[in-house]
Amino acid sequence: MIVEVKNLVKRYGENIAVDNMNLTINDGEIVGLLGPNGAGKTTFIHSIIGVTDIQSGIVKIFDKDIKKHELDIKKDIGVVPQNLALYNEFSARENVKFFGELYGLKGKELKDSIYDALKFTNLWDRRNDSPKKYSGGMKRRLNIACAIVHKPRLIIMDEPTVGIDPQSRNYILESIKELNKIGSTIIYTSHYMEEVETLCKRVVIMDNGRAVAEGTIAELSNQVQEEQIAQITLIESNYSIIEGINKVIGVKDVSQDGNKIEIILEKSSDISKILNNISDNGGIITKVNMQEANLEDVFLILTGKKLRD
Amino acid sequence: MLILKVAYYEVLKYIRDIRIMAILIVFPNLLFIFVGTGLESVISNSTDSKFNVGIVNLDKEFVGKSFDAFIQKKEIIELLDIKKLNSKDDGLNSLENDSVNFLIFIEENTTKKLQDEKNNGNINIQLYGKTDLMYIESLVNNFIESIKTQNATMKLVRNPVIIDKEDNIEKINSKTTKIPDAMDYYAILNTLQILFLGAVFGVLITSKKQNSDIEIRNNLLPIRKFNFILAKTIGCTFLLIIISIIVVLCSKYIFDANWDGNYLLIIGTLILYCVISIGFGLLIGLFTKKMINGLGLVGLLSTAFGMMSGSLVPVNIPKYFTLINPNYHARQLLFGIIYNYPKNILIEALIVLCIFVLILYGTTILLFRRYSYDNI
Repeated sequence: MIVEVKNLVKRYGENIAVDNMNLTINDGEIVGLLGPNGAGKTTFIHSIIGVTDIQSGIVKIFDKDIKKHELDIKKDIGVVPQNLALYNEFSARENVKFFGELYGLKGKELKDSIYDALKFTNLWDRRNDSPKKYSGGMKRRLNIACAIVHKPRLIIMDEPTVGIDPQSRNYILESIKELNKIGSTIIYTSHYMEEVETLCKRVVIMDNGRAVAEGTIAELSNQVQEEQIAQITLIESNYSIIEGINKVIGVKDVSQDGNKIEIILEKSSDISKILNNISDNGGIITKVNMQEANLEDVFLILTGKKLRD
Repeated sequence: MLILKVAYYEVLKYIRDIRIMAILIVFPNLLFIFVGTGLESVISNSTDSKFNVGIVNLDKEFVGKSFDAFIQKKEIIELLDIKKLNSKDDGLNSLENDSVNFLIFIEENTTKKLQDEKNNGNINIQLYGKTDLMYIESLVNNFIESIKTQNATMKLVRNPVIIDKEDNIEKINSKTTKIPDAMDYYAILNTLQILFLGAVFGVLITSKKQNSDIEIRNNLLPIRKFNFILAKTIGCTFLLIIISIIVVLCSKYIFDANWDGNYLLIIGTLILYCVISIGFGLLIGLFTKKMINGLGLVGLLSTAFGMMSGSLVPVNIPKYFTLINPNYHARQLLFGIIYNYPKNILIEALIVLCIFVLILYGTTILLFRRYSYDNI
């Protein structure tokens, strides 16, 4: 197991930022951590990597207690912070070298690692430039290069694609998949649901310092859906077909738009009974589409639509 | 090794920061140009700006005669507006009613005391003043040291006591050649004033920067927080020492300020003062927690210490305030090294500066044990 968190509590005075949080992450996973602003994601991340003190709970990374083996554990973690964490006074190469050296790399290993990190993020050709001269996307990529120079087993990315163009975002997302392929476990936080859907097999949704849901996107979708929506297209629709569908047990509502019929039915209902009913009434089906809740729907259902600070 | 690497990068970071370098190197030189040369013209050209000194010299023997000869020197006459007074009470009254700003009192049997073996060659000339005495102090200390040196020389040639002879008086005054001019005086004050800004480095090291992700990334490095802060402190201290040497060299070779003395001792004093100013910053950073508050407090302290020491504008500050001003003790040490103050003054200043170091770093270490990165 790469990360094991049990009953983690983090308070700031009277306010509970992380409330009895539990999480396990296995080797090779990409886990998405979602939550509205102020949900406690960043505090949770800081708590598990030892940046901030916790009030209670157990945090184990690489099967070692973070309190007892802090320095050992930190050698194998790379963090891409939410904002740019770069020294503008250093060139890109010097930035990566600084962090590489402090992670204990030296000599040829250091040189090779700097090359790998800058090549990987496609910055090698501009290695001698200061980050001040970089575009937003390049800065973000350098932010990643500094976090991966020591080839960490666990990479934590806190909204690494904020404010960049689609090309850079795509490059970063592909890089993350690549990092995962070569063995890194990744915790990924973002507000871009489609990124999380693309990258993460498992998602944890946090709100008010707690994990309100956890699972694969399909599992989460199942958890929140109380009804299904079926869209059926016929060659020709008529009144008796609609009447027939309405009589099927579990159907809540039927609406018709030309040859298209939209049916809202209970989550436990069997769609095949509806399809049989249509055939029995002389309808010829050309297309059936079962609409599922996407991650954004799940997120909004679980955390509510109320604006957060 | 990691500590040295962090220290190296800390130095590199600041060297490449044009704003910081401008403040620490260009700014003091501008002050030399505008304030130092300004002071020089004021002191040398205006009789109104001379130091108004009352002198009560009751010693009619060697020390008294030597001092009379000393104050007749051209450099002294240019600097001091001297009023000879008959008794200590006269002098204190004149000081009280502002007819003099400073009083130098030499008691009746000063030469006898100097000649007394039991007295170990010590000489006591009393100084009084409502404002900062440093300039007058440097002249008098310089004179005392010359007398003591001459006394010691006489003993070496088996002369049990210093002899009241014209040639001895001549020797003393020929040795007493180091009289600071305005630029010499200001070079020391300005250097110390600028070096106190080194406290900014300390604040930047220990204070918490709100929403600073570089701080988070640094806290994730596999190096102990204490070692990381120690490394940065070493780096900043080294940088500040280099800056102090540059400022000294600029004032010496561009503005012709006098820094002649034991160079090792001068550099040692500057190192000690750099360590103190960064120590102040570290403590302020830990105490105030927020960077902006810490920097504000450094600004206030720097101004207060600067005013107390006269390096900004001369103000009347009770002397006991100077005891809590490291700037005062550092300048005593520097003036002492350059203008040959008696050893006891140098040792006293050195001890006080060492106590400052112990208190500042001891408290910093204690506070650091409670250091938390919450709310970064």
